Amino acid sequence: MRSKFKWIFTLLLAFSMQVSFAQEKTVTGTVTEDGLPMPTVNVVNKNTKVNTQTDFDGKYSIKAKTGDVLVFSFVGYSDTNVTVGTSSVVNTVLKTDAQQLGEVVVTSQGIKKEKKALGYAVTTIKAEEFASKPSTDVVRALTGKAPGVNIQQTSGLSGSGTNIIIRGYSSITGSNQPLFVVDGVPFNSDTNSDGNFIEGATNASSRFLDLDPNNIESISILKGLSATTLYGSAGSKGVVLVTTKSGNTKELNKKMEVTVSQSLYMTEISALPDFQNKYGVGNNSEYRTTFGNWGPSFDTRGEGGIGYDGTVGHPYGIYGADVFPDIYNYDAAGKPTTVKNVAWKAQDNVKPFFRTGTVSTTSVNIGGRSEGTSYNLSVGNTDDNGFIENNRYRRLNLSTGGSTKLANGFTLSTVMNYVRTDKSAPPTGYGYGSGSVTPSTFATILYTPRSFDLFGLPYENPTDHSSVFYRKDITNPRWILKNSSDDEAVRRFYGNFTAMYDINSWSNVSYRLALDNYTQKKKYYINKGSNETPDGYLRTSFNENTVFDHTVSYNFNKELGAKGTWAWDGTVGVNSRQEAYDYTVLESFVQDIYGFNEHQNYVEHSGYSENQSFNIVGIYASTTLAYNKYLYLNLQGRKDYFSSLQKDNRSLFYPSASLSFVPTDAFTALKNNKWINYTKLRIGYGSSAGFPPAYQTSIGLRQATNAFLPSKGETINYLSPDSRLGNPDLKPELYKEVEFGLEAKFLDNRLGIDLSLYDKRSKDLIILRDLDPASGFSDRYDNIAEVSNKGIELGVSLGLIKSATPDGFQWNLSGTFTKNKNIVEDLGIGVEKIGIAGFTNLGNFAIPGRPYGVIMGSSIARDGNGNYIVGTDGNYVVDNELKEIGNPNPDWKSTVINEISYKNVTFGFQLEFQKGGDIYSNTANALLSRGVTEDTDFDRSGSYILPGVNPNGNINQVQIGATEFGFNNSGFFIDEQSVYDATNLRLREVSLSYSLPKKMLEKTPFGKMSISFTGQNLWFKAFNFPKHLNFDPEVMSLGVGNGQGFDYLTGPTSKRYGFSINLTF
Amino acid sequence: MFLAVTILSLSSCETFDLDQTENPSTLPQDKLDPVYAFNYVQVTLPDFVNSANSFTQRVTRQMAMTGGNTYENAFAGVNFNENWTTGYLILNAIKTMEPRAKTNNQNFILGASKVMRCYVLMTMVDMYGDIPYSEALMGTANLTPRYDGSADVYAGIYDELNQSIDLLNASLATSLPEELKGRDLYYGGEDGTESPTKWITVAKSLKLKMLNNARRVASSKIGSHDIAFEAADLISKNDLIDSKDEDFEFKYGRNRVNPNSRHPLYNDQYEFGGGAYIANYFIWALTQEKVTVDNSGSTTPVKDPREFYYIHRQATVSSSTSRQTVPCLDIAKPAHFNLDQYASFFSGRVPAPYCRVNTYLGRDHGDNSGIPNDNEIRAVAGLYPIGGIFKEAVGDTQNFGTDGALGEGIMPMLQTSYVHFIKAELYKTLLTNDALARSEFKMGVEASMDKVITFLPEYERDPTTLAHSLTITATPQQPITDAQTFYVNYVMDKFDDPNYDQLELIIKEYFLAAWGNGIEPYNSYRRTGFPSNFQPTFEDNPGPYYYTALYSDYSVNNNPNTPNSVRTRKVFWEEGLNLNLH
Repeated sequence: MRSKFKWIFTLLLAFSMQVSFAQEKTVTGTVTEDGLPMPTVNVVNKNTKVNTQTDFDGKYSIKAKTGDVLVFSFVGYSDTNVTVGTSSVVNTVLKTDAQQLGEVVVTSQGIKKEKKALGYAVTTIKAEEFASKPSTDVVRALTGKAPGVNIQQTSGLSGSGTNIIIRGYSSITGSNQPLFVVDGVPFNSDTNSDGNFIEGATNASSRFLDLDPNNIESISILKGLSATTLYGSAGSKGVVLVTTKSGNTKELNKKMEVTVSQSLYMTEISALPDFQNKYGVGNNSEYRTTFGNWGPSFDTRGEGGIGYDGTVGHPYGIYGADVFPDIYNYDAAGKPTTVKNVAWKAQDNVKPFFRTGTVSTTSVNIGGRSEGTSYNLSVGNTDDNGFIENNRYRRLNLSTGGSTKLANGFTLSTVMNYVRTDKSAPPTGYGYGSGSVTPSTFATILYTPRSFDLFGLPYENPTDHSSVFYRKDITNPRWILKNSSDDEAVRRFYGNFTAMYDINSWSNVSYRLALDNYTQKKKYYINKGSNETPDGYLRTSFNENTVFDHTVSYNFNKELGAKGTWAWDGTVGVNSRQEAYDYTVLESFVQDIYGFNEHQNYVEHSGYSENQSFNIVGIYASTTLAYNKYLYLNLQGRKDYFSSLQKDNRSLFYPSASLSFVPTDAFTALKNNKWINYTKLRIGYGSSAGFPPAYQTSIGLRQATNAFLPSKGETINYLSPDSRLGNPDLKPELYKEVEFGLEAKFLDNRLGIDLSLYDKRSKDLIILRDLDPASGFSDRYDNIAEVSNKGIELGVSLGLIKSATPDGFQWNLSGTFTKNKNIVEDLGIGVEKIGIAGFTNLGNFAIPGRPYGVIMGSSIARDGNGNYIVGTDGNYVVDNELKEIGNPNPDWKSTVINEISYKNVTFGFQLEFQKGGDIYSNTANALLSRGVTEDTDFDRSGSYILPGVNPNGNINQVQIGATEFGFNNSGFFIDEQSVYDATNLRLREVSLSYSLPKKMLEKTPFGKMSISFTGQNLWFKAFNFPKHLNFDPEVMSLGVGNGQGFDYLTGPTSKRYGFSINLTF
Repeated sequence: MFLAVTILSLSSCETFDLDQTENPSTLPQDKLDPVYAFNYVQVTLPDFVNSANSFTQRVTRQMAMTGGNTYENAFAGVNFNENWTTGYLILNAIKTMEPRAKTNNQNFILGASKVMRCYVLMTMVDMYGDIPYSEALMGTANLTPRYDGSADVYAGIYDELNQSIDLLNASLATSLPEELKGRDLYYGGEDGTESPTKWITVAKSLKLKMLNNARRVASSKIGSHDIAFEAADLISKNDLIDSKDEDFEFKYGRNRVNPNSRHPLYNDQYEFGGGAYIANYFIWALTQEKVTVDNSGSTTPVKDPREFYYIHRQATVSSSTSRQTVPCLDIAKPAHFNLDQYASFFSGRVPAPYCRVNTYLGRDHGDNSGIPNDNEIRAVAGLYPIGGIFKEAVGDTQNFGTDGALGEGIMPMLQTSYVHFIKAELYKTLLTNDALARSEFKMGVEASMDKVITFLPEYERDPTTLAHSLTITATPQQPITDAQTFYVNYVMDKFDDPNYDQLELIIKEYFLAAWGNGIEPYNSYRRTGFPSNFQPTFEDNPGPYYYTALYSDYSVNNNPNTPNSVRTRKVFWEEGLNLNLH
């Protein structure tokens, strides 16, 4: 009704204008950009100071006299001045302002701001950086692209977890993963694993994997606390803001547009070791069925256990003629006599274990708008088959979004997403170099003896399907691949509903309801017949995770004073969030019929369930005062209430403030300068809260049913106090950060820098601290620690070669540099160290004054002068007292991205370098101590003397043989010897893309068409690892979390290559 | 719109609720029923002993010390986390349920729990020396309890044992409550009527054990109690463990999974993959050390009837066994193994063991070299006490828990034979009565034999093994009693032979009888220095012995009151002893 009336009124006015010349009239028009209508453009009558904004369709109306000047302005665009003529219709096209660099970024609570107004660092990443890429995990595709953001995969398996840490670890025992916000909605990004790293937590996928990279418009990463304050405690570790195409309906063409993309990639293990083919299994040049390859050379004849004909007994002779009749010789009576022999030679037994997987992604996006309503529909399908059998990840994304502006001043918009993901992978339990505790695909495969014909011999016992191998105490890796699986199925719905009401042209009130709900079903099984789990095992779990989020906010944006000198905007809101979690697990033991994995086929069962939920209610306010568009002051604050703390301690208020100053706009001398095009200085202070996990102020009883079964009598159930102590005084922790930044463009915008320096500290940091059990309890949550992160983030862009024409030859370089110093400042009185991850005698620890997560383990014993002590047997003496043996934190990381384009061809490559950062590698110690790689191809008849002193302090002179030298000194016995510096350089990505010229497409239905060839992780070099291991240290065997710097043979990295085609019509 | 408003009003109230501090998925603390807590204490006690064993059996050469080749590197603070934690969690469970048990007048639970509390505490004092006692178990009120002197804690425990006896006596006044019948896993039987009196016997026997441990302290007192007087009094009152049904031990079940109720060493050695190595010294002391010497000077081992009950040979290991599985056969014996002091106590002609013991494959003290493919040939524990196999014939036990008595063993804590040996030691020393020392010594050996040979009577003995195992060279196929007699006569001859140290004989037989319990030999060794011929450490320079165990990393890292954790600290009853431990 109202808008209809407005049109009639306009029409009437138009008539009246003709009668009374130079009288005030109503001017109307449409503001567009590149053919698209632009909403919320400021329109000011320079003469009367009257102002208005364009509506959803880019239309406006304003009172003006002929000769008045209308100024159209919008962040990121040049102001356009138009003098009102006789016509009462003024249509204008806005142009982006290259000079102003008015990049618009999405900041917290979805507020869009001009980048220059921000007093803190925000990194925005555009769709082309992650859409249609080989990685189906959007976060993994961002690796190396944003300074200060450390992204690391747990392994190269399809669907494996991804760790993301922004500006270092700021909590010791709590989560350090950032908050994901998708279209304004908090989005659960947990990595849910039923088991710990010993069972292979690396297999669990991270729930941001549910996002379809092809349906994402842009990603903004808010790194500092001054940027994230409004998100409350959840944002204290940084915020990843994702805007999907479905949630961003404003920038759509009026015409319906359909985008189709199809990609096909191959995935392979990134590199296999270079295996030696000279020596076979054995010890001291004798053929023995050891794990190690210190046996005779393959040309040995008639000694060391090798026959004169170059054969040895069949390795499956240990199973007898009943199991493998074919491998025996028989006498005349048909009785088995001796076992047949097999050739003593090197085998190709590792490479066939791996395959080339295919990754196919199809995505269709339909969007358009009409009469105040816009819509978007998107469908994505991904089928990712990993580099090993039984590793598959499938995802279906359905997404729809729309927005409509009603006549009564309300704008309603909604986004709805449904995701179905199914993942299977073989189990990847912790491998310790002589096998594994739980089933593990990769624990032994890489050090399969060179002489063992893994693919020519059976992997299962023909009589009962159990595993067979050259020794009975290791499970055949092929058997594990065929007989076990670790599967996940996720069904997820998330979306939001937003209602906004425009109170007037400069303020509105909005309500948003957001829901993120998923169920995750997991199934882990292993058939009977392995060594680790001889009876078989089945575990299914069901996990439902729900986030309900309500936000009511009042937003305003108003110019103050004359000529737009002052501008004031702000928002005040209330946010309540409920996170609930419901978990049930059923375990079954003792498989009955081989190969059938349903609970009814198992003899013994046990179950567990829990549910928990907590609420966080926050009241927040934010305001920015701008002066002449070159000085901006932003103030924010939020107070949170947490439902799982005692009443007196459950709330915390935390403020933040930031200032941005643009000298190039402030001083006329700097304007239009050829050399210095733009500078901006910013300084910010931010703070945030952190809350403990739910229910830690009071702990219930420990309970066990069926705890013991006496030989006579009934099963015993028990109750006991929990080993964890409740802490009623627990209160929120406080994070504080000071940030300073400089952004600048030089040399006709050829060189750009974006530098941030920050200093972040935690106060009253909540940690799960160990207690002296003599207190009656083993641990409790406590506010006692302090951690600091100080760092530098630098982004540089350089137009190496610029062309005058858009399709000329261009070469752009961009780079990032990140250095972060992460120190554990304090652990509270009397606490010397806290285990963060890993084992209690080999893991990551927090030690006051030391970098976060230093690796502690056993070391080589040293005398008073620091010399290594060698025992009388000639080997180093181990010191089992825990010592610091490595620091997993890299010294710095850097990325260089090259983009070279000419006409319609673009070639790009991304190089990444990591300096320092230690990793404890079981791949290294197992392969070296087993003597399977070319690194161990040294003279095995020689003897060796270890440098060091004997226990009496004299120089060691004990000679040891090659076997002892290689086997005992490769880190297998002394943890310190397994720690390597992980400095590495890699070609993260290389791509070549071609988009068809518009001319060629004129006669086709297509608007755009492009094809890209992309490869990821095609080359890497870890300089300080033995050369022939070809080991890629970019793995995290402790899984997603706070553990880092451990490789426990839980899965190597992958490389991916292939192509994608994008069509728009 | 209407829908949205409905959803808003329904869900937002819920999201504003801020009082949610109780975990809905755990039982609240006020549900701690003393009967259920008593169950926890009963089934967790053997775990505590097992974790104590994992250290004490290794430094006393029952099991092989393989974690390092010196004392310095064989153990570290983390190795004691489990023992320290389990011990105090048991104590905390008892403490937490006590108020309610008092209100309910559950004197039996209070008394029996206190006996177990005292057992845990005395074991911790004996292992660690000073421990938190007066300020322990206070939770939030004191997270860093102080460490009380070991003598003070001993005095406290001694008084607590007296209190436990009072509580158990009080419980005799009323019949056992219904819910406890069949719930005393130690002495309950079907109706549990004998429970209180047997727990009283345990309490008194534990007092005697403490008195013996402390018998050499300068004050000659535990607290205000005169050691000699108390010991004589306890012995004269004669309410000490002296029959199999009074033995203080935890009886395991045979269920393999859900719950796995078997002896932990059976779990380790009878599933797949060999399990822990038995120390060569123990096998040697059992099978090789005692010899008869004939006129020509050649030696013949005295058969110990317990041999095949204690140890099972998966395969016969000889000098021709493949080096693939026994690499040490090719490595020369370290020179210091040949020193006289390590030879047999009974005959210098029997040298110290090395690499293997006759046909058994154990491991040497401090041999931390790599693990060869010997899973199916290592010696494993037998029927007693783990519920393993009893068979002289070889046969591997890597059959997923299907062999022998299926793990239905016991965790011995204080048995009839132990008490006899304790009494023998007291008579030999403090109470100075050699004749009674002799008879207690003999009863100790006999009680051990009897316990072992009649263990798990329902488990069928292979008659050929029985007969063969007891073969004594002189006369083939001697019946079992003859074998025992032969053995007992042998040790009694030595006891009566003035060339032998009677105390060392007592301790040596105690050492053999205590198979499966490392705590008693560890205490005896530090109290007496016997057996004096323990196999030396593989590395010739192993550093000082563990006069006490190391404190748990949890206490060292989190409690500034923890004393300096060095293994040369001493328990009060070790002070002033001049022993050359190695």
